[in-house]
Amino acid sequence: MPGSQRGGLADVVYVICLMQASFLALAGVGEVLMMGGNGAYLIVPLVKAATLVWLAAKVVRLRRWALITLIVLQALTLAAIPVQFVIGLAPVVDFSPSLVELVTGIFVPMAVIAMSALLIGERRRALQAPPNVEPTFELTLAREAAR
Amino acid sequence: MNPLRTFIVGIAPDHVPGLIAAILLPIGILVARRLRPPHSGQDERKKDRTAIQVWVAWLLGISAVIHLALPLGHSDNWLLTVGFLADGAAFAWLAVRAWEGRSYRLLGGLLCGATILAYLLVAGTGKEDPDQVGIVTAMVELFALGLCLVPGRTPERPKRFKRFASSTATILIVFIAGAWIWIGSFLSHAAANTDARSPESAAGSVAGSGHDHGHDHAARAQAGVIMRPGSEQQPTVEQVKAADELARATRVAMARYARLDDAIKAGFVLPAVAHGPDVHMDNKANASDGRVLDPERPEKLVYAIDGGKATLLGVVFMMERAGVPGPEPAGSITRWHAHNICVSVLPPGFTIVSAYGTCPPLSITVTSAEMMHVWVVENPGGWFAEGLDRNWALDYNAQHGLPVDQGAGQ
Repeated sequence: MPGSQRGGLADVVYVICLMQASFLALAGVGEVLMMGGNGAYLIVPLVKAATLVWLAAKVVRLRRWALITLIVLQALTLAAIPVQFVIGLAPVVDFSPSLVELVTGIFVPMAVIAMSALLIGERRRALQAPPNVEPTFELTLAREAAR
Repeated sequence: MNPLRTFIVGIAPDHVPGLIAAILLPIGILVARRLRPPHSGQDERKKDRTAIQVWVAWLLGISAVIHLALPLGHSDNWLLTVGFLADGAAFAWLAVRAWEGRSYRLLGGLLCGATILAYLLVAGTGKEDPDQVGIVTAMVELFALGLCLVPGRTPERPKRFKRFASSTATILIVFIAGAWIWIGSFLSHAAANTDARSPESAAGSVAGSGHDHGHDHAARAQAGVIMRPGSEQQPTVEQVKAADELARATRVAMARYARLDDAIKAGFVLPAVAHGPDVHMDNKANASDGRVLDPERPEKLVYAIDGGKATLLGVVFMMERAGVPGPEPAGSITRWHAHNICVSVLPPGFTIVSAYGTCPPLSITVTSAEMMHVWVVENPGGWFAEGLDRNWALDYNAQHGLPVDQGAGQ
């Protein structure tokens, strides 16, 4: 699968990030309602959602720092799982993830990390390509980013 | 319930064939590719395939097999069967088109949009209890819809406005669909309670206890509430007697807490917001005394507190350990539930898990121990209803409430 065409892996990551932003906004609105309409509970979810959308826009331009930051963000989401598991060992609470939670909390972040890592590799290869090679989509983007 | 049981309960039995079909799809594709003879023309096409086309093909393929397998669980309705098969066939056709590099965006977007809308009309309006397979399928279709909507970016033609508009639409559609399913799960929960209300239950009989559901409702969206599936069998005479006895014993024992001040003196603690139709008061000593379903020592009391008056509405019995199922002396009448909640640190607060299984950032998800309400006042839902109508509780308190001492319940 060549990434050097319109509709590459970066666009897939972009759409996933849009969906994750929506998930966060919905969870934030839920907390606002549960906490008696206190809008302060919407700040952190909206900041993270906006960050995700901004990073996604930069990922499509193959910015290396954006790809790395996105990997770190997704890794933090994944890191919550073992923490929740340990807390769930306490007698009064349990950790019982549903199928949907496994998809949004584990599968999706792992997919974004894998695709971002692939894009970093593609970007490196594109930059190392000899100058007489016909410029591809990724090569153009990577050279743009390097400039 | 233990975590594995909770996970299984989230999947509606009708939807198990769809889930199995989705899991088997990659294996089926792998076997089919092994069996297929090598063909040079296919390799040429593979070179031209973009990442989006591959992802869309897989997502539409997953949705196709789920819809094609659903009639195995919904075989009682021929119209639904025809609809599922037609939808599945259309998804499969578009998946093949995307895989082969042919156009799919317009038809794929329309099909995904129509299927999601149909699901929301059924599951988002309380007609069907949304379950984990249904929500995951909707998420797969939302993802495919997003990939169909958002045009790929090229350096020479950035299509900034088109990308901005389609990205905004994707975010909004995902948000609205999630909110709709979330509301639908609560409507379904409320409908299950309403179905059970009968003239007998209005009089306070345990036979119409709010758990004698005409259909199995198990809060399978697991978006805030986790329940064990109810028994299909009607309660036996012995179980109705046991429920009557538990309700009567609780009413008699709790008469001593008719006044809010007596409850406070006995160690029940008012929450930070001690005002409203369902103020829950915890008793730490009762919560760790090792006694289960003891009418003399409930873990929580529920008061309506408003306008300087308070009414003891009922109690909450709670298990000491999460994951341990509560006893059901009266079968499906005494049905326990738990809550999956998000505890956030910035700012400190809590909420329930959303329909997408997500929590706000900087929060963790935990599932509470099982709990059960027993009401001590006659109410439209019966002694074991999961909740009381807010307005009914406030009206009841206005008519029957006892004065609250200064400082309490203000």
